[in-house]
Amino acid sequence: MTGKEDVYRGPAIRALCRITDGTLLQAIERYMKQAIVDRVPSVSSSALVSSLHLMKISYDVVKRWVNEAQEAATSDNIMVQYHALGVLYHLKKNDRLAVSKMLNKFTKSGLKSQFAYCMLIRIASRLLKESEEGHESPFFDFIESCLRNKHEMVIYEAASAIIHLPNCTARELAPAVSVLQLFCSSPKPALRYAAVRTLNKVAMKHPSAVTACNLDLENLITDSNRSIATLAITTLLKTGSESSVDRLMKQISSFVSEISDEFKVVVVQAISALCQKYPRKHGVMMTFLSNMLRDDGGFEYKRAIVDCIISIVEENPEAKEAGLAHLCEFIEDCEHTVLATKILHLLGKEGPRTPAPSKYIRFIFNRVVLENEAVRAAAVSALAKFGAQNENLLPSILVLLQRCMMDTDDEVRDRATFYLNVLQQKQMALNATYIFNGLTVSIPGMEKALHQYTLEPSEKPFDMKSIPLAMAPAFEQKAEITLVATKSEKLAPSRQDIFQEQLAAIPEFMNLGPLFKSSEPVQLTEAETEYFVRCVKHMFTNHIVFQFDCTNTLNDQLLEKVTVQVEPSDSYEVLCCIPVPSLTYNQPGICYTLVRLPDDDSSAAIVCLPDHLLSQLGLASALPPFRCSLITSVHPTFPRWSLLSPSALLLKRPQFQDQTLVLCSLLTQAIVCLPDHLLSQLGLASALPPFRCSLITSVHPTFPRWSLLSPSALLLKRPQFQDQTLVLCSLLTQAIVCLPDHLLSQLGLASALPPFRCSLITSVHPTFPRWSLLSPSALLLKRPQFQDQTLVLCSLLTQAIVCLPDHLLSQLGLASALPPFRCSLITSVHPTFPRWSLLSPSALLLKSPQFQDQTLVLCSLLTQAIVCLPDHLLSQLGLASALPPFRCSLITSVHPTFPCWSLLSPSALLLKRPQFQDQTLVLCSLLTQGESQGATLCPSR
Amino acid sequence: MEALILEPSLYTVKAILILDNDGDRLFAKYYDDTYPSVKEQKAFEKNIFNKTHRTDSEIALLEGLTVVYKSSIDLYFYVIGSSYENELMLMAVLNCLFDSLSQMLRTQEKCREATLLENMEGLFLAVDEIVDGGVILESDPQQVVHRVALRGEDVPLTEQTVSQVLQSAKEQIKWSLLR
Repeated sequence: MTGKEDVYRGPAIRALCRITDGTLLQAIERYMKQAIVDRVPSVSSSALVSSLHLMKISYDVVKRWVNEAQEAATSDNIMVQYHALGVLYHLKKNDRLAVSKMLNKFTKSGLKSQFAYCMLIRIASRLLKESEEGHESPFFDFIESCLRNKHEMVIYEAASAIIHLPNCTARELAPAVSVLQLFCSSPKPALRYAAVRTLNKVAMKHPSAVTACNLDLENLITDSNRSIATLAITTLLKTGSESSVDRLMKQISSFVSEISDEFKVVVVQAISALCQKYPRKHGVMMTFLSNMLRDDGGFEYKRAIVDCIISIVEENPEAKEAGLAHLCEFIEDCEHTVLATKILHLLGKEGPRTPAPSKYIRFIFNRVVLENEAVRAAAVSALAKFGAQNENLLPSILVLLQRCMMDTDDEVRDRATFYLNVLQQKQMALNATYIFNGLTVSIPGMEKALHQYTLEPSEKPFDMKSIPLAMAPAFEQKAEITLVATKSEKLAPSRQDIFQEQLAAIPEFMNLGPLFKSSEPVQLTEAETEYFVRCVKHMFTNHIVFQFDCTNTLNDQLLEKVTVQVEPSDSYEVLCCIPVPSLTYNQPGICYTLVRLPDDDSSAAIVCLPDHLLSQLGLASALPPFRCSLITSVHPTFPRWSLLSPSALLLKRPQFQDQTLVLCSLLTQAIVCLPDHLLSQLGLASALPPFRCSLITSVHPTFPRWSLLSPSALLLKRPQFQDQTLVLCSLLTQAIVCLPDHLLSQLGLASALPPFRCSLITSVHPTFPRWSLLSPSALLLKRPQFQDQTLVLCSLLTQAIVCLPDHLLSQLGLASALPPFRCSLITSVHPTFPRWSLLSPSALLLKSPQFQDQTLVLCSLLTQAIVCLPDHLLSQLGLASALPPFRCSLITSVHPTFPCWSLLSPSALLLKRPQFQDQTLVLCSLLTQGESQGATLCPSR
Repeated sequence: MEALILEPSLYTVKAILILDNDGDRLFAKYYDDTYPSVKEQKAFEKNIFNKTHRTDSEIALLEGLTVVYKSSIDLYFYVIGSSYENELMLMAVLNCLFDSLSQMLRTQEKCREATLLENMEGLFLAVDEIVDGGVILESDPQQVVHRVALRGEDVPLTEQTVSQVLQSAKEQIKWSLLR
């Protein structure tokens, strides 16, 4: 390779590289590098091509020659350029960016070699396809510019690249098609062939784009090259109109025997498509197809024809008899067992319903006499179907079947005996079950079941009933089926079968074993929320798979990597989550969560609630997946985690609040409708009252969401407070019961405030201890040092008392306790008082350990409240004189322990929190007023 | 299938065949394992010959492969590529093969089986110069002929022209320096 004679060096390099292995390559590396940049084209080309071959042996070594290849790419020789480009691409093809850079460089600098241009076009179209970016990309422009290249090879490559690009519009195709149209009239057969072949592909997707070329294509029908003529005709068949079909068919039949099987299949496919398009032309097609069927041809070709005829027969009732006749003729001399059995099956299915079924019997029985075992068996089955459906043929069929019982083959004999006996019963039901319908179970299901059966040998015989039924449409619309909410009993097994298949298709779930049971889907959200989530639980031997069907209901949002976070307790371990890659508008996606069941089966508690109870509750059908969580919450012995798992998870993520609400309301509803005697039967009577109150809140339609959330959130979040909460709740319930309605209405609260009833009443009930007032913000109970502030807070909850006339209060024994709290109470009952102010304090209080700040916020809320308080009320409270000028400082005075300074700081705090700015504005104005007054107040104290 | 179309590769040619009047193989070179055994290759060649020897056209689709071919008196030249390959590239290879052989065999018009068999070594060399392992190495028949034809014995010094002597001397000096 370093010899003096240039013509020897190229072959020497090629030969050397051919016999080199990885270890020897190091030794010749230096020479290879030199050779790649050699000025002699043949040497350089040889070195480049050899390095391309060597990449398979040692990619890493060749990778080091990239600079040399780069240099070679600038060579003047067309082949060197081409080879260098090829080597560079193969070295860089895993790095998209590098490829696109290289492409940019070469498209700008321009190349001499037509081969290199073809390569560039291929690289560019690959990049375009991978990136799926629009056709505004510079690469597309480059390909299009190549349509004007002087080499036909490049023009054709560019046109073909454009046509093969996905989602090309007709406008983008137009230049490529017109170039191909020119090629159609080229004297070179190869060029004509290439053009027609590509146009044929265009016609599959965009028939209208090719209609412009119809004239040129028609000229090609008489082309001496049969391949070109065939392609031209099939293209015309795709683009042509009904009127031209006859003429085209005639032309095809004139040369169909001369073309290869591949093209015959293409022709048959084109005809098949045509039959669907123009069903009235079936006569012409059928004659043509039957002629083709008589000709010689391979299996693939015959099968294409038979499939085509079968599809015509099935779709077009007019063509049925002619089609069956042709097929009968075909099986008289058919060497392909598969086709013969297929046709016999079709005859058995369609034949008995034709006007003259008897004429098929001869063809079928001929098969029994002449053919091999498989065909004979199929023929016997077909005969039986005729016998089952045609009374007058039955005696003859029985005779024929009796003859079949002498057959040499077991299967044929068995079938004949079986069918004969069934037919002799003359019972339609038997006929229907055993003759027409055959195997109704799902084939994959049966395969699986049989496999399982052979793996675990048992004494029991295999039970066909254990296999799910096959539902033909169910398989086609898999995705849809899983999303249909209500399903009939009959569908259920096949649905499970589908789930089994779907889950088995996911690599993570492959080793879970057989699917034990799948629950009905349960909605986790209401239909009108931003996303619609439904859950289906799949039980396996040791695992549960939660399947979440998510639907994005916002048409302006695309959700990506959607997961549903599940946080079970310790013993339940989340093994993996499979997210939905992306969720477009209204396109349901499925994400899965795999949870391992603990070894000790604590979920046995689920069993404790009998099904009839649930059904009594009207929940049996809707709730199954939530059954356990439902029951856990009503049954005290049920482990805590189940209570926590949905709520803890959902509460953490603000976007799932809605779900929690749904869940809670489900729980509460259930309990509400549960009669007492049932509860006591369950041993829950004493435990339940706490939930009743929350139930009531949810029952009331006008009650805002958050209020539903807050108690349940608290209850669910902190299991350690359940006891207290329970006490509280029971008190609430009791209170509600004891407070007559007229009293409530007297309070002006009866209609508007049902949810508050309980909290209201708790505070008025004499036996209610003070701390229990605090429990809604259960947290506060924990910290006795904050009781003072908490008292203020709690007054928010006991709002209505303010409106309560004194005599009533005294009646309740609260008269003395109340005055200090009165003003704070007013805040919450005043209609203009914004909701958030009620909500936010608790949120704030719960969040941070220091309650000072929260208190300040709270205070500011109070201040606001007082501001909106009508004067006459204030005066009624004995505050009228003190208020107008110093409304804010007033509050400090309401509570003796409340320090004066705390009034001043809220603004600072509130300003920090953007969500409070609006309020802050109001507040600040108050503060400015208050500060000046406060300044005067403080010294006076 | 789609990936096949779009995987840009230099490996263009799957096989080059030259068959005789009866469809028997005179020369065959397969560059990949579409037809791994000789038996399959022979069957394929028979099939090709049956489909093509009667017609004078130059391109066909056979067994999912694009075949471009040319006949000359009693010889049939075939270049075979994938059905997604640019047919014109295959045509370029076929033309190059045909033209360079015509020139090498000094037959003005057509090649014949007899002359080809006499120059079998030239044929092998030419094919190797045109396609290497499926990659098109050269498409210019002049270049191919040049590279194959100069492969004679070294001309004795006394019969060389002055410039040839000088040239070879220069080369020798250069290579001794390079080493």
